[in-house]
Amino acid sequence: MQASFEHAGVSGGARRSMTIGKRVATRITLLASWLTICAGARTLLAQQAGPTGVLVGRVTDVDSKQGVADAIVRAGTPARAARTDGTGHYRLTGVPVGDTRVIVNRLGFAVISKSATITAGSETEVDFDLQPVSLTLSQVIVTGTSGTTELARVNGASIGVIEPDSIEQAPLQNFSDLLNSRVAGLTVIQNSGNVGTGSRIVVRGQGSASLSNNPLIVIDGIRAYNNTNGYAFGLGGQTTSRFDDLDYNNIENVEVLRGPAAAALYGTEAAAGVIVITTKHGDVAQSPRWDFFASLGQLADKTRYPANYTRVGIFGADTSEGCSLIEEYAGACVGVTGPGRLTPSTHYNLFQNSPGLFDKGYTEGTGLSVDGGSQAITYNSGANWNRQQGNVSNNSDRFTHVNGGFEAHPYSILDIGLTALYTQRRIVLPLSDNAVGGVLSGLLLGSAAPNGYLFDGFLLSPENTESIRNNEAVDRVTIGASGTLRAFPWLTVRGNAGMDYVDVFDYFVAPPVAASLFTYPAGAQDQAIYEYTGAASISANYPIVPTLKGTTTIGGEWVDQSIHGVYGEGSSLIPGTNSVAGATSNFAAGEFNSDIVNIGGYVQQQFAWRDVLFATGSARLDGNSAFGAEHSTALYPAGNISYNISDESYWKKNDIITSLRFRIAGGQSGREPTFRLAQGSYTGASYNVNGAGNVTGLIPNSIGNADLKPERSTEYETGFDASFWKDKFSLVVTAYDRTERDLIQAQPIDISTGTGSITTNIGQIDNRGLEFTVITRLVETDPFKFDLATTLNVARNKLVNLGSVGTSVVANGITGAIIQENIGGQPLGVFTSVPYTYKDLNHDGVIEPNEITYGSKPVTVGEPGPREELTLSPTFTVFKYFTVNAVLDRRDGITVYDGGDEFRCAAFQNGRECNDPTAPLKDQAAAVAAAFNGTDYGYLLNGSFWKLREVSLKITAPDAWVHRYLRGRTASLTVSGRNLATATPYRGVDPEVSEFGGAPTLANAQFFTQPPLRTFVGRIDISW
Amino acid sequence: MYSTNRQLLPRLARTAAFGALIASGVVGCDAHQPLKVKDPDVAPPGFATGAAALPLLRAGALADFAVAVSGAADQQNNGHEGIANFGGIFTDEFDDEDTFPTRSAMNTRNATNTNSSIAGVFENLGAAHNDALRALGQYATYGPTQIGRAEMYNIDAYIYIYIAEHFCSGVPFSTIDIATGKVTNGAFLTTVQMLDTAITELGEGEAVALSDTASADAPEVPTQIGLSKVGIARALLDLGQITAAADTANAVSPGFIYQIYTSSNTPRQENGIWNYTAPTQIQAFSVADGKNNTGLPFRSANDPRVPYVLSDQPANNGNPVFYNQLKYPTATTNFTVADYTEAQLILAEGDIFNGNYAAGKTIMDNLRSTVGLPPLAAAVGDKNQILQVLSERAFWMYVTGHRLGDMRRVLRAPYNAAPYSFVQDDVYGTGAGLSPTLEFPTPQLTNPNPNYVACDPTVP
Repeated sequence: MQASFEHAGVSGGARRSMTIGKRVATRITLLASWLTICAGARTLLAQQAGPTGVLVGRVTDVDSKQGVADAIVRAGTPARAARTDGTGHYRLTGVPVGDTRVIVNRLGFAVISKSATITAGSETEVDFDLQPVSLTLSQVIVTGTSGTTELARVNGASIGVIEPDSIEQAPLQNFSDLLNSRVAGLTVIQNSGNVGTGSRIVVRGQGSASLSNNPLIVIDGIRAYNNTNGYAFGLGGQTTSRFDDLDYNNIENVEVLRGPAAAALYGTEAAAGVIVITTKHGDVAQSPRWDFFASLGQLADKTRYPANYTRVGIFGADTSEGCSLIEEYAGACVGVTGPGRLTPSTHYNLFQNSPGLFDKGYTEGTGLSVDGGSQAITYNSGANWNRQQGNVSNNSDRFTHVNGGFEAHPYSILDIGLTALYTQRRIVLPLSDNAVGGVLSGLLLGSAAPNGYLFDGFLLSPENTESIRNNEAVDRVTIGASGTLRAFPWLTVRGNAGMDYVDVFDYFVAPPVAASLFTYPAGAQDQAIYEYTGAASISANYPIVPTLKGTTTIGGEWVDQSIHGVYGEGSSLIPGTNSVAGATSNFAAGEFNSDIVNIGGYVQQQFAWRDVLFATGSARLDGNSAFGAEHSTALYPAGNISYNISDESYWKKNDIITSLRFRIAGGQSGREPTFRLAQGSYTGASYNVNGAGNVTGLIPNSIGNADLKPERSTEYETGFDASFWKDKFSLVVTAYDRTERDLIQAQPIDISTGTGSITTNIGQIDNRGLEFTVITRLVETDPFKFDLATTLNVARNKLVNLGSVGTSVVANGITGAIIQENIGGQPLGVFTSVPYTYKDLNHDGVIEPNEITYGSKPVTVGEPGPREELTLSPTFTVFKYFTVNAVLDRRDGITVYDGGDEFRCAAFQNGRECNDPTAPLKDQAAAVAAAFNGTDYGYLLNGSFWKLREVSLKITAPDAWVHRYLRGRTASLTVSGRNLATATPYRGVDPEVSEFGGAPTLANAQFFTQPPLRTFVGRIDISW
Repeated sequence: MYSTNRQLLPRLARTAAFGALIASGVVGCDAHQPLKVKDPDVAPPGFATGAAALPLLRAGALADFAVAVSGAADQQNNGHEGIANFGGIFTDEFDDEDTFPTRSAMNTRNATNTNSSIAGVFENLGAAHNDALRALGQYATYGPTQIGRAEMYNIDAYIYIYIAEHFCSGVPFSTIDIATGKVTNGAFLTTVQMLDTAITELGEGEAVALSDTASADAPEVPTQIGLSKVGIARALLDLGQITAAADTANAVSPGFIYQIYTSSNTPRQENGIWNYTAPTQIQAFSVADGKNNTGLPFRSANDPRVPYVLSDQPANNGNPVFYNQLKYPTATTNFTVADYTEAQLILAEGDIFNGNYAAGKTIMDNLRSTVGLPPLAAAVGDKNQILQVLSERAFWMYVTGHRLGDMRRVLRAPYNAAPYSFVQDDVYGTGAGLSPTLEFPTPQLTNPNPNYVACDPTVP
């Protein structure tokens, strides 16, 4: 048996390796061919470029008159860009002759623009004085799949921007932390506080009831793998996320395209939004800039966990166990003849009495990068290393990242960009949540007796839970190349190609240790994920009339995501082993493959009227291998208008309204079916026919539907951007309405068919909301400055209907009753349960079954939410050298199912509410109602909260000191804390984490889920 | 920006020509070719048709039948408890010592039609039913006289019997086309209709087996004939036709046995009862003893037909006391669907029903002697004599999916009238905390079937 297993594994692996090698070779050949074509085209077309001129000048701080380095200067259509050097000087070549607008933006300063006339073959000098502001919104955005950039003022859709260098990085532990509470409309739902676990990223609400709601990730034009449910084996709920493979240290900015209105050109799979990441590619500088950081911090679990309860002197049918109030009410207690309920309870808190179990974790990290270049080539390269150790020994995440970004301008008409990223992660996770052997379940379901970890032997001791290893090794390489060829002054060709490769090796082992309930299993899975992207576009711009310009873009994109994996499992490990190789029974092995190809073509038409009013229309046609045979293509139109009214000639400049823009946008996008969802198929199942030997059999694997098409998302949004008092107060307001139609649903069918459902397009979801971003400088005196950035998101989610599906079940409670459903007219995944009222009729201080009155049917209780999310981020600066920043987060309209506490009483009878006669009546009623009426109503709780998410103090050394003592440019010390305080009416351990936080599901529940750890970190940053 | 239109137009023409060149290349190719991807992990529906597919479909149906009846150890692939496990905790064979509320509800017979565990078992039975029908469809064309066709008829009939014995009177049997997803909704059958259907199919199975003259199939022919006969006798017993059942059982050859053959080849082929009772697996279902004070003394009788041992490990719900059944001691212990012993017990019941208690007792005593048990004490009175048969059946066929059928059929004619007048407490009573319900509800998940009708509450 073992021999055949090993043979199968080797065979599958070898075949995969050969396939992988062949595919990689093919892709490299394609990439090389593409680059060759580009090079040839460059030679051919360089001679055809039209007349251009050179723009030069200096950018200075209006207050200090010092040169401003790293400012981006853009001019021309299509835009040419250059960065200022350390003295603030810039030189921009290849600018088409004629009148043009020159725009300069730099982090920390208000954007400024001037008109200039470029003459052929000569230099035109334009200088700029920048006005410092607290925070700015990025003015340049990526709008096309092939890396097209344009000014934000041109685009009628609202795009959220995060610039990692503009926020304090010390409190951040991963990429999800960077996104959390930064952009209105983007919500991060954590699945665990254990380090290395991931989060679910939701933009503008849940748009699909069955498919992933993860936004696309695009890194420098390359599609990146975006799974947030990464770990292969069951951990009880928690999982890892491929989002967290990204390193915020080498990111220039993150753009959040919130939905189809902004992301229609990304086509299928952009319905849930797109996160466009631009990595650092270096700035023009006289000498290289070296940046070094080192951080060290502490992680600690500050949660107040409840004690375990029992009652002494009264026993259940099994006389070794204490008898709870619930059991007593059921008449299942031995020897209770009088008012046994008055028997006091006793309790014991295993958390507070488990020395050595919850040690404080730590985090440590360091990184070094170099950035620089000339007008001909810029570069940024660096390496970062970070290790986080959780508060249990078998929880850690070691993160190593190396990046290289290059941008070359070998000819005035040609830009070439290269991106190369490598990430290595080594994650160790404990069991948690809904898992026998989980750390929290081991304690919260434990005995109320001192020194008793075990509840009648059901659960494992801390020594055993910590011996269980769930390891994930990730090696990820993202490479990409891009090129922009300005073949003619009016014609630009862009292209990019690349690959995101992720190798994920997961394995778990429960080694042979004493008192384990497990059969000492081990399992291993290795999967290789390839996501290839190739995109190209041609843009032509032309005047139509003197005041009206047109730009036409035709483009195409090819994306191929293929996954190949093998796995093996076994049990009964022999002592001393820690892998499948040591297994002696229960072998299982397999292979899995999937491949989805999407090919899209698009055309975009843009009109610019007097450089004030912009209108854009586009249509993209996608073909996708996952669609049903009858619907192999999908068309996604989009359009937007942007009116920069404050740039109108009739607009009188004033000191109150600095700038004002109105915008409106609409578009469509889609969600592709998952692999094989549209195809009927059979799989194998062996049977020992007549006991004579195993014979291969065929059983159904998937049910076909040739009519299956993508979910279609239609979004409209409108709003305005305004700034007041010389940009001291900026306001961005957006209202949106996104409707998803043709939902891909499991339509229930008669289960006697042997399958519960068929997949079909049916139903509609609506997400509406208002998003506000306010950035203001409240105090600006010498030496004090006080800035406040505020984002507010008000969201309303509604499942309009599920067609003939009617309703579908999302989750069942501990009682087995439905607690979350998809019901037409209600929010997606609305919580439902049979309500009740209670009253202590006999005034004996406890709630008995006959003191509860139940409703006749389930009612809606709440939704997963959040309905409102408010983030306040104040920044207080003193003498330029001391900066205190905080992030305060409010989430409202959240319902959380406290399944863990219910389970304590339902299955283990060790919760307070089912033992302690002095427990709050409300809590007692919840336990009694669950036990005697099968309703989970009392455990569906308000999960709204205020959370002091981050506080940091940054001390910046004076430049003169840095230069004198360190021979450097800048130096700072930051002390920060994360997850510092939570205020909530929720009675469970923490409302923010969810057992299902990493999975693409709507369920929002806690079942012994590790709350976020409190983190204190000190970080030193020095640059030379 | 452009000096003259004379410069612009040629450029536009060149650009247009370049675009046309690209477009012609695209049009010249098969536009769908780049969207065709490989799927090496599964077989398209076309592989399930034709003569070559017959052994594949047969083995697949048997594999799903095994999961549906005796369960499996592969919980990742629908290999949960089978109907035999669930019949065990629903009756007095097993005590549930698990934390799953849906199983606990079965243990106290408080299961509702939303019970997901019941739905899972029912779905697995439906899958095996559909597999068998798909196989029968191919056998009809490509192998009408092959023994595999007889076996497909027989196992499909047994699915009808299992459902009729366990579920309420009103169950659909719908089918689905794998390639297109088209569902054919079946009518909701009453208990009698299910049993009649089973008898018809078993008759077909027997006829096919008798017509099979292929030498290679010869060893299987008597097995399939025996399976048909015991099945018909069992269904007749459920229909209250005791004498006819005995007559049919009397034709079963000594030594006949039809089993679900387990294997350690895959977890899905392992014995599901072992999986939920063994100390190395999930100690969920403990051997019961006088369950609810009215069940049979499966432990205290110390009967070799119900071997067990006190586990040295606590139960899945933390109970330190758990009794492992040893009838299925390993993952590869086979599960008996029907055998000569069952036929003999039906024959004995027929004798007793027809007033020849001595003959019936002799049959039972002879069976007991094969395992070293002493003869039975003589039972006095018609009702006690039938109770004795039921007890013998319960011990001989412990956790084989027979017990609930026995408990229910004695509440129907002819045993619900004099001289028997069975009431529920006679077999396994209501007891404290035990619902009087004696049937599995038809899962709510059958509701998409527009033919839905509620179960007939008058059928015990």
